[in-house]
Amino acid sequence: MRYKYLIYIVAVFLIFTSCKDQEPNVTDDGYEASEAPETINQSNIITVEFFSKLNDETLFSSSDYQAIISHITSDKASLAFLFDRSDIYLGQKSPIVDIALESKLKSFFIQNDVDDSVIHGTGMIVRPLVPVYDGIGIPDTLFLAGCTVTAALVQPTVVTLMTCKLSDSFQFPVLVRSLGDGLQTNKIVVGTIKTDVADGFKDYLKYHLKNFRLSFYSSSETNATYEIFYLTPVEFVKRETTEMTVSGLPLYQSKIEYLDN
Amino acid sequence: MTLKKLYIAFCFILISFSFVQSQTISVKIMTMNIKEGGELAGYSATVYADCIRAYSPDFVVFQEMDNYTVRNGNQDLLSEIAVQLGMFPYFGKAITYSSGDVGNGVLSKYPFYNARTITSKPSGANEQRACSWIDVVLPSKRKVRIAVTHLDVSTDQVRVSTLAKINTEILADNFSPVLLAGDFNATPASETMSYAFIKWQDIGTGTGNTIPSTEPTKRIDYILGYPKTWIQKSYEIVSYPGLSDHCFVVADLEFE
Repeated sequence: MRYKYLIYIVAVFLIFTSCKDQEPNVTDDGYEASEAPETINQSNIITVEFFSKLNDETLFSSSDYQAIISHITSDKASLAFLFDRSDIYLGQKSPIVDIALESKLKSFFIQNDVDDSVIHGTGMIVRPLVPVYDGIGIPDTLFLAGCTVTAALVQPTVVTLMTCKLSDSFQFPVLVRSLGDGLQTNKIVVGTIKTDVADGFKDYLKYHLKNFRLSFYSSSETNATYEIFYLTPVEFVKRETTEMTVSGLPLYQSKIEYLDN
Repeated sequence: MTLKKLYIAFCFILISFSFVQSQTISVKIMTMNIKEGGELAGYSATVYADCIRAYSPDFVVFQEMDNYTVRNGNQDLLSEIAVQLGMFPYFGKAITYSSGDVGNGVLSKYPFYNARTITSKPSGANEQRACSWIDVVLPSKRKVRIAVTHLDVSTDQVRVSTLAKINTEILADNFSPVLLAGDFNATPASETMSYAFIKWQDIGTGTGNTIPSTEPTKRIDYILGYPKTWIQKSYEIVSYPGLSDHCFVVADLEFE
């Protein structure tokens, strides 16, 4: 038993020291990205559509997805569609797998938690056949995952579009470590964050990550307790978010520009 | 964030990790070579879903799965089966064929957070082959990697070369434990399987013949485990001649 505690203490010490080594060298003032150019190159825009109620409610209240399927199949511009809290009941048809099949696209589900009956999470539907789904899964801490796809910009550009749900500040260092090489390989994270920890996230990243842009979008919905966050490499910038609804479900259409200089 | 809060969080994670590691992994896996995209069953998702449902596996791995080919009527057969069973699909492309894709398929009862497909076409191979895998967190919070491959029919040399690449890629990140199942196009005494058994545990028992599906005389379909400490709770070879020229293999397994 004593050995076990000793192992814990040594492990904690090692984690602290290894974390310190991995921290990027930042100045005392922290990192702040330079202003993006005012002129927008419309040919270098990645569109991501994010369905979310931005609270702790499940997204789908019925299995009639026809309006969503019609929306997806008529939209040829968006690179990906995300469905926050498109929860699954193990052994039952997943709404996301069903919608993707009917839309003739491929789906991926990024869970937020682990359970033997209901799993909360975000569905992702993407256009091309995706050979790689990239992610990390740490139960009770953080699931961060997504797909590597080629965006049809001025120059075809490979991006890894990821998502996660942040509800507590203890997840911030895990997220930064999980990004591995930071954001050097065009990782774009579009996720949700609880409003009351959003400022803390901004402060944490300022001193623990480099070469990034972070922005938030707060909905006009009165019962929203989450915001959408956009964490991108400095070469990308979120330009706008447009609120709309599809079949009564809130949809946030986001445009992210690749600053290909 | 204070140092104290970070310290408490790390202690919590470590203690949770210790508890999770003590949970036994229990999985039921089924491997199915469905011959030319499911031609014998008329490319019917319902026929395959009904067969799979009878065994209630946690994971199903397919070989010779078509994705939107002309021959299968331009359908996503894997996702159709997934919808009928309430599972998550992952398709791993090996080749372009019949205006679509042919390769491996994985169905998982649980969401996966990571998935990869690697391809290989060593000198002398008839065609490019693939190995696909998914990483899953089970309800016990332990992780397992489920992989599938279909080795080339040509020679032992080609198959060993492909297996060497699979070993390198699939075990590169020290992920453990792993199950690798599929059609190895090689009998147990072959050079191919001798090489495979260096790293991998043969989960099967008995003669284990899997082909043809009517009165099988040869064993070429396997479920392999890494590391070699998997415990076999049950192992079944089941025959559905209307669905494939291969028998299917179903195993109930545990890992401490």
